[in-house]
Amino acid sequence: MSGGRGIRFPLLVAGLASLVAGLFFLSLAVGQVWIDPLSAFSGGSAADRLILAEIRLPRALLGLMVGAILGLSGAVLQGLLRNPLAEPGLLGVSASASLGAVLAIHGGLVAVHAYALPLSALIGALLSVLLLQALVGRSGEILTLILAGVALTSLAGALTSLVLNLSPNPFAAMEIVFWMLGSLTDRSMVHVGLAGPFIVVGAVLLLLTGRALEALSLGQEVARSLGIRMGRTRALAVLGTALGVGAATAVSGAIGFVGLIVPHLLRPLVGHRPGRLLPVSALGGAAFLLAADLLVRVILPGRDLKLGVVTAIIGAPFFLWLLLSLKRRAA
Amino acid sequence: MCRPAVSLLAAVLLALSGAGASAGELAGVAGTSGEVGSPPLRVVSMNLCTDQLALLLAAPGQLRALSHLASDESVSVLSARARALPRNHGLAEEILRLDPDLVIAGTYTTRATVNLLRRLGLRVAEFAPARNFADIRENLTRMGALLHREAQARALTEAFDRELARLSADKGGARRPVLGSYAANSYTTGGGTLEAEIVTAAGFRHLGTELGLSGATRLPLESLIVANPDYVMSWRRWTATPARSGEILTHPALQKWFGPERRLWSDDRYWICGAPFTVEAVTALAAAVPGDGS
Repeated sequence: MSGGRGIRFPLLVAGLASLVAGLFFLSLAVGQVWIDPLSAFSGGSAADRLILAEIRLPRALLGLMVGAILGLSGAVLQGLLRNPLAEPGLLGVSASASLGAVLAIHGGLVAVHAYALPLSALIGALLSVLLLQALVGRSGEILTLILAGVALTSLAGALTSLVLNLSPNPFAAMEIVFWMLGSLTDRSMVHVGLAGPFIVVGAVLLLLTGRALEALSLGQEVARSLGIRMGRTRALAVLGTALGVGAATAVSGAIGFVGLIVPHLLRPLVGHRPGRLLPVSALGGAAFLLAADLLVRVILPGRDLKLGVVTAIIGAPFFLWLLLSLKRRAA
Repeated sequence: MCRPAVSLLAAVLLALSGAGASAGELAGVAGTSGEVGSPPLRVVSMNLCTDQLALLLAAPGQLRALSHLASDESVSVLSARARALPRNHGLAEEILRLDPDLVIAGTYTTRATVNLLRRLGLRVAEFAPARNFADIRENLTRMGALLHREAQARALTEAFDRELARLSADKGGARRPVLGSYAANSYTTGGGTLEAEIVTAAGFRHLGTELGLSGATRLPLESLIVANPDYVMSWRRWTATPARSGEILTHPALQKWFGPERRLWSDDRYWICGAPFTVEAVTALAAAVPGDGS
């Protein structure tokens, strides 16, 4: 509410937006060979133009969209469950979406209609969020939530492995790593078209929860007295997460920790206001994932290092630090 | 040539040193080692490639069982013939129950099983996968010696060499186009492999060899487009069943850059194992491209 924060917020948004734009540009330029996107479109070789338009542009677009929806859903889930450890990857939502996608591909549904892939992943994500809500209830107890997430993640992971091991295709078993750790390598515009619409709708639904989350941060009673309908907020968050994370996972695999780290880093910068945290978390998530995907290409070019490896190497120590600081606060 | 004897010796030594081996088992081992002169009559193979070599060479009734892959028509050239025989899944229990006097395995498959079978005193011969045509000849000859079917092995080797000589005579002095293989999950194969040898014998230059790659390696799509081989070859059957791994083969960038006339599709079954039928892979690949007229 203070004036100082009001000035800082637009600055923060502008800063993050330009960071995302810069990383997006780098994402187009960096790969097996350096291609300058500006000059390539005006007069580069045909190979350069094709690589830019059909390989790097979809990769950068997916990095942007997937990162944004993961950061955003992390912020919404943390606000809704009033739990700092809530995040789609940690709660098993991503893993369940992976299972849905794998079932759609190997069950032959994708052959019937291409949209079966994001839809099936979406259903996987939706079921997991509903299951989590039923398990945790309104208590929002950290331990129950995390344990339920662990159980869901390993169950969905095991079933994913099972489906892939049963596949008659000898290459299917090699996919397990992709579905568990995620990657944006060699995706195409087809994937952007498949996931894009769902991610955009999911993001809109999630952003609509902003006002309610703001009120909720003052306590459930206050929120109710302010006329916030909890049922509607919860439905928006659940549907938005399922749509967005489901579609993102369907094309990029389960990428963890983005939704955990980004809201935490940005929360102090927006004065702990959940409503403002949402748009900046989306931008921050996009920047984080684009940067991680650049690292993947720079550290081990040509070896297809999985994106989830990088996000976990950064994210897991952060998670441990977060647990420690929570414990300290409780003590 | 001396490999069977060495592996037999190793088996005997292992059995002798095995703590759990009983006197009866030792006697049995001694008995088999004394019978090297007579052909094995209950042979079990547990590797797709040794399955097919054994099928080509064995006398009727000499084979007891083959691996389950041998009768899988998507990977085995001889699936129809293999289906007449019982199948095993490379588990020590089922192999023991078959009471074989010779077990044939690949060097890369089911290490634990092979070691256990040796400990239990079975005679196990291991075959390394063929990396070139010379390996194919050597494996054929060795399999012939193991099964006491030297004449058949010699006949197959000679036919194999005749076919190869005929094929190389067809491809004299023409411009050799570059061919790169591209498989599911963006995999290509480097030099020093059976694939490189087949591709070269079919009259192409091999992309993986020219790029200095080795073994099976991931080749990012970008690199494939930059390397720009004349032809991109993929295997048909591995993409027949739906999987995310195969999506890369229909990537828009790949399809725009390499038109249908530059994409070749091979029958995987002839490429998996080095065997006399490897020559079919060479023939089919050489025939896939319109002659060297241009």
